[in-house]
Amino acid sequence: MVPVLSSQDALKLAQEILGFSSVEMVSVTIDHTAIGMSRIARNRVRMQDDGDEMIIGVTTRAAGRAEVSLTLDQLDPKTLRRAVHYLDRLAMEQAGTSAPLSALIHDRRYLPNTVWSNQTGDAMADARARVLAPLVTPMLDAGFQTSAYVGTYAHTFAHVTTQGISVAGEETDAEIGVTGWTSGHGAGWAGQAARDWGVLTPDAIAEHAVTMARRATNPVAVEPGRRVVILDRGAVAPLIQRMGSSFDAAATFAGATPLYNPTTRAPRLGEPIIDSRVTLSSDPNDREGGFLPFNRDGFPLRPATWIDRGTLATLAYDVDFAASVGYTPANDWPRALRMTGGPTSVDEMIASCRDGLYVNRLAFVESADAGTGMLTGVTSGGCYLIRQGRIEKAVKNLRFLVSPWFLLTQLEAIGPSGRAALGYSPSAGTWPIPPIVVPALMVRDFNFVSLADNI
Amino acid sequence: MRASARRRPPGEWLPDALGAPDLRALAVVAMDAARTQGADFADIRIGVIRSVDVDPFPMAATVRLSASFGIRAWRNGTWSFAHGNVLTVDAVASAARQAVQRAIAYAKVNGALSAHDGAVASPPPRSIPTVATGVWAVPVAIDPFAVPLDDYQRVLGSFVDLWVAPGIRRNAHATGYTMAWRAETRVYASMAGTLVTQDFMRGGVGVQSTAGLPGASDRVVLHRPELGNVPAGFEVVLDPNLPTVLQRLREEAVRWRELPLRPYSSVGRVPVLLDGRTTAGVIGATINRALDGDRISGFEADAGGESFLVPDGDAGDTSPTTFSPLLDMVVDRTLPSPAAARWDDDGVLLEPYAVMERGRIVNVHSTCDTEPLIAQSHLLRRVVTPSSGAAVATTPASIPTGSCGHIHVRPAATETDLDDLIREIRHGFLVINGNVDATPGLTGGEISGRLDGVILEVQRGTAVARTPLRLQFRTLPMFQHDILTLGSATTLGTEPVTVMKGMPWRGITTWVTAPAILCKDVDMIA
Repeated sequence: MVPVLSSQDALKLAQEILGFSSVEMVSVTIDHTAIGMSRIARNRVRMQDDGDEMIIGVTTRAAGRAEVSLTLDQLDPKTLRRAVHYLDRLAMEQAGTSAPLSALIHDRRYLPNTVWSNQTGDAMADARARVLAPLVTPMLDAGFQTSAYVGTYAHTFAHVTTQGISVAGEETDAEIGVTGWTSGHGAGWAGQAARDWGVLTPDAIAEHAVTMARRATNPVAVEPGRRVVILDRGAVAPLIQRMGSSFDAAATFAGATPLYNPTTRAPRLGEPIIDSRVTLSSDPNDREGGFLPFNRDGFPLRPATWIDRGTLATLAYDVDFAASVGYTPANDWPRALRMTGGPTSVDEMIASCRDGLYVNRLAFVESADAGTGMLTGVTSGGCYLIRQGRIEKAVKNLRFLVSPWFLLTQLEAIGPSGRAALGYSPSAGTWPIPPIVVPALMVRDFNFVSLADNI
Repeated sequence: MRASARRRPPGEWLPDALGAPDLRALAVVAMDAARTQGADFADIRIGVIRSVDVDPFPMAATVRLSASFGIRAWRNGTWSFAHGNVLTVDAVASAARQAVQRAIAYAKVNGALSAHDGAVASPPPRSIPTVATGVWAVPVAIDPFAVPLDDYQRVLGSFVDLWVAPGIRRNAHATGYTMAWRAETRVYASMAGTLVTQDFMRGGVGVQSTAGLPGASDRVVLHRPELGNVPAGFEVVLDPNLPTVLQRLREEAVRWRELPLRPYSSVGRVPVLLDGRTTAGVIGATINRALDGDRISGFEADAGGESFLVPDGDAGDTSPTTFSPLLDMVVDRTLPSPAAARWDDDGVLLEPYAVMERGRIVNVHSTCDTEPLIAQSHLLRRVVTPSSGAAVATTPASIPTGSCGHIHVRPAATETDLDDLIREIRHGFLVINGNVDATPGLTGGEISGRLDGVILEVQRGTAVARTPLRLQFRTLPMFQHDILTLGSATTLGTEPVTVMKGMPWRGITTWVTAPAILCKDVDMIA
């Protein structure tokens, strides 16, 4: 059962609403979102939530006047017509003016939409219940207090304007995560995320979480400081995810990102800025890291290589900034990112490490300084001391202060790339977070600043 | 005031059919459907939200309408929740049946899990509130949705005129005014027979008072969020005292902006005076989170986190943490609180309750779900009550979660204003309108955080300079040992504190009202 409107039906509805208006400039946006979420807390199903939400946004502007807007969630035609007529009258009474609509300069060629999975759509009904037992029982059998979540998401978006924009698309996503707590309040976490429910493997998630939790018993405190660290994908993803906004050209030209060179007073385009083994890219049609091929204004989004083998290759000129400086093609800064992988497995990284830490996941990651890209957060869900090529013991969680731009100059080894689950990450946006495809990394000089007993 | 005939009021287009009687009828239909389907217990929140936001330059208006419902069904000790925004008999009845069917299905999952840890299949039964019926409404003299937009613009213009009036000192460069209201009719019904209707109305003038050049990094920016969240109608912006309040805020911004900006390179621990709004923000982000029953009970363990009051993660072994004996805290959602309500979203009749008395925790924010888990903890040692009334659903379609609504820190009885407290500082800092960046604790430690905002250096009882410093605090030392003095009622400030809870996470806002506090030994960082 498809839980949301098809993109064709959403487009048809948007055009129908557009037809209710008689003023010069009108835009209609439709979001239909269905989320199904099951949560385990204290070893039991705590709550499961199913439902959908429709939000219709209408913005109108009479010639030479400021715009007015309205949002509502009712599909009743009488209500819709009445609302739009009211808005029209309000628009014609408005004083003042607004900036020109950027929609006027839109390129209207779109890449295909590849981020809908029928399997995820079908799974929204009752598949979540079926995976809970295989996900949680291995944790209970091992004696861990367990929390878990299983979420599915389907979303249809349509945007039409009287200036000729007419675009719609649909997407799905799914994420599973499980945490087991041990004596001494150590914890082991594992998770997966994918557009396609069918590729998620609850058994493997449970196996990794049990392994992490078993190793996490009775963690000991270690001194903070700069250390060699092996970061699994769940630890790398929140760092790379925060790098996306740095590619914003307007912010960079204003000197507000690490990609601005204060000496030349220009962006670092063409400069090698991180390890030459690293390429960062985004592509709406990426198999694991894809996204809708347009933004909420209906502007097409393009594949881009932001960092090409360590060198800053391009910046994101949003449509307004691109128009103001005469740059083409415009693009948004990437919400989803792919970082190229390498050949080294996590086990090989551990085996090659004489003295360091293995970090399974980072949490509560927040910006400490946008200008340098400095981030802070804490280890969570498994942090272990490595001695002489093997994991020796669990350690208590630590707070870190690092810039991923610096970190990517300190690479020892790179693992294969795959999409990482982010779990609870409010500072990264709303759930689900756009895909972040990353490898595990072994890095030098990862800066831990204090113990984080509170985690 | 005379209504203009030209510019239309924002409520004109709203449909007529979605009134309280219709919502109550749909709620009864849903409860009947849940009962027929075999629910042990079910409840529904169903409502209509209208809002209007008006900006003066250019005159832009946004109006919103949202109608939605959320149904919880309880079967064999397991919850299920279904929500939607199609408000028809068929839609709500279908959602109620679906919620019960899924509760039955997930109860089987819980049964299977119990075979693996040897515990009982279900968590303790939820507590049952007293059955309630009735209607409650925020008193409204002038319906803001019936006021023509011309009048919005006229009032906003009068506020802007205050800022550009002759005699304003230098550096008074900008302010921002908006007007907004949010009205909601919400019906709560349960299978136990509760059926209550509440009409909320909240709004006013949003103000940001800024002194300093536009775009400059050293501007002084002051907010008064409670002025834009008054539980009343359009009459609040016609209050003859309001221009004086706005003028004082402007003068305060100018006063602090006129102090020189000086770098300060020393680090160490110093006395720090937090104004009322800053204190409210700190307490909302730290102690109040720890009092959240969802955290204490472990329901938020893999999301928003746990509580430092439960050091080993076991809700039955809450630690006897005590704070400064100067601290008394009460939760009170009676008018004129911005969170004013008569019943919570479990249908519990709201009454003020103390959470801290002379630094000792005497209660926490519990719901009907969390109360049985935490009432017997070492922290409280009391019998199970229905709940403290902390169930809050941010919209009718949201799952109710724990949030106290509005917590008040009792000010000092002795008259002590901000200037009196400044005079007590030989060398230290004053934080005005501080922004709090706190790391939430998950288990047994402290919450640490940073403060920035308007931070002033104080020497021999006088604020002498602005500094670009940030301050770092650690919650337990600050609130256990470091408080020297509290300000009196004249120093009270109110701040909304939003925390993200759940998967998917949603923002839940708690209002905090607190006096200024003078602390010793707060870390300075560059």
